Amino acid sequence: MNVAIQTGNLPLLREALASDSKKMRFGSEFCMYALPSASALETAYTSTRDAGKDFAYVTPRLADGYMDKIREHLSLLDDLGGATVVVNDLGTLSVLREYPSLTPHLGRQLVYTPSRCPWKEITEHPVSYFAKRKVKRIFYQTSLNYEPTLEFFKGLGVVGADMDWIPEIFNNLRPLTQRNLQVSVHLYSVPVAITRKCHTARFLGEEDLDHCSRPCYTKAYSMDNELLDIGMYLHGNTVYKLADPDRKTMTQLARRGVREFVFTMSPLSRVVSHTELEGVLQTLQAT
Amino acid sequence: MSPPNSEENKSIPNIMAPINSYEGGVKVVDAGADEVYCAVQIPDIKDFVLYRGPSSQIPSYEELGLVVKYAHDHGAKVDLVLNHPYMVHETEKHIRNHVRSCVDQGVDALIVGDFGILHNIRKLNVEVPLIASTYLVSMNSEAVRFLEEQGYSRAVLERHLTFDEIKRIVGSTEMDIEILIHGGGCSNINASCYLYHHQFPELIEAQRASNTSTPCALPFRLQNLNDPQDVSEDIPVMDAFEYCSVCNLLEIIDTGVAGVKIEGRTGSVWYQEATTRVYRELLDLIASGSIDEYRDQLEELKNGIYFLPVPSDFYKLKDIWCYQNRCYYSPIAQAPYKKPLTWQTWTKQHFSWVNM
Repeated sequence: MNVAIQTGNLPLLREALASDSKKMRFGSEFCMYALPSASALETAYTSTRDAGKDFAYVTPRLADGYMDKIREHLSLLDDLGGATVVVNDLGTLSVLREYPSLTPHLGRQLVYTPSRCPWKEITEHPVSYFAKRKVKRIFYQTSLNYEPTLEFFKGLGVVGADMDWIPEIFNNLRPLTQRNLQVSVHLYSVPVAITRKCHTARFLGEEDLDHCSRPCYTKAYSMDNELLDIGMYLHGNTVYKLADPDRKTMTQLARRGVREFVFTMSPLSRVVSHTELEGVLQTLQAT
Repeated sequence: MSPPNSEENKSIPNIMAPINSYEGGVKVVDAGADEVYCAVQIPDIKDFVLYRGPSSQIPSYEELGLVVKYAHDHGAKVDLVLNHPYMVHETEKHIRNHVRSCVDQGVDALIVGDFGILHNIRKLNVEVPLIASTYLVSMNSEAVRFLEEQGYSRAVLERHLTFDEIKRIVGSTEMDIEILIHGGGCSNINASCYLYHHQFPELIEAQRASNTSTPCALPFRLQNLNDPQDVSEDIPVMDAFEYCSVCNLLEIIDTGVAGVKIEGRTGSVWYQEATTRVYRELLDLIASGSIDEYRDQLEELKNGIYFLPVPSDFYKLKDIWCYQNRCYYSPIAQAPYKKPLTWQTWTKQHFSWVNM
């Protein structure tokens, strides 16, 4: 089973490179302010390739000023020989058409997945049994389960897409893999809400996000509202719910054609070192 | 001739007002809306409710027809919100019938936020202009250009942008650009927020206990995962929503946007009308060059009874949203967790012994 390791900075990438994983993902999935510098990207790319591993560059949604930076990064990757680019912004997806050596892979922000919602009551309100069944069928699909939407993205060169560990949607992944979409499933963390107005930065009093001190490199928080009683977590500009993956289901998903699983090293997963990473990978092998 | 979005052609943007009823349509058009936007309940999938549901929608196609007639008779347009963020096979037939029914009623444009729905509209061969919804998260010029390629003639930008960024996007396209300027804006990026406002008992109770109305405004106790001793008080950590743009209309006009949009399809008719009227009056003052009068009126507004979603006889604009810096397009990092300066908080500050 392929587990790609996702990291957001070079120190974490170095730890990840020491693992057995054959694929590294590097970059910022949710925060435009945390885009790496071109030199960090080049270092990440070359050190991954030198270690004999595959490389994917992860990109977030972007405001206009950051598009200039992403163009520079895509040119660099093109010059270096190409890579997979996990894309979360329509602008980036559009620009990628200029670089045939770069392979677009849809990130989680371009795959609408209503069941990321932390409350399940949407499918539970008092209607007839048949109506409830219909509501559940609609709710537990993703935007890519609609063939024309999938074909639209494939027409733009997209070859794969990121999904979440939400067991209720797993039956709907098969039709995607059957249509030759390379599906990657993120283990553990499901993004519930993403903002540009970084909640962590505001909480900690960061005043200029362009010069943010990156508290997200070291801190993540549980969020507790006693009346709501729903487990949510804050890491950087993203609120998550956590999932509980297991080996058996991973094997089933692999049989359904899921190509890889993604594990993100971060304070949220509480895995920031090579030894902690090995521990998690071994646990997943054992469960 | 200069291009549509050039410096010379910057003009007063159209006001887009929200409605959820014929009565609202009449009131906002009379209050000066250039366009109204609305959704209509889709009869066959009414049980699938992600947000607040029927309260945000016109109940029938017949009522939509009445809105369209009234708006057209008074020189206003009607934009239909196809408010489904994604498409599945089970809804295909219903969405197609829905689009056809709404177009038959004479709507002027369709607001579309999903490429699956766009595909269906193309299949129907309807000749109606398309507006890219905030669900498509237009945050940069490349994204807007891409949407133009897909057949959209207008785009509503994501809320979390600065004036400079908006200006840059407007300058890069021939498309008309709209921005949201007023109403309970989102703390998170709309298309990436799954904290649906669907009301269920625990959420209602939590909102009631904290006197809030959306999940992102709820208070949470934060605990550092790597340092359990690091625990915060209950704070509305996600609360970054914007509310108002009355003071920023000159900057907004300067960006060159073609339309400014008021949020509040679930609001009361009173709110929809009052908000539209306030912005109409302010924009008209600016259009006539009466900038001093505009500024005077701002002061009056701030000191006046605020146009909340429900009428209030107490709260003033400056005590609620100004005090909290709830300006749309305020600096991105800004949004302090100040409680509104209501009589309760004022009393608490000044007479801490009062048990409230």
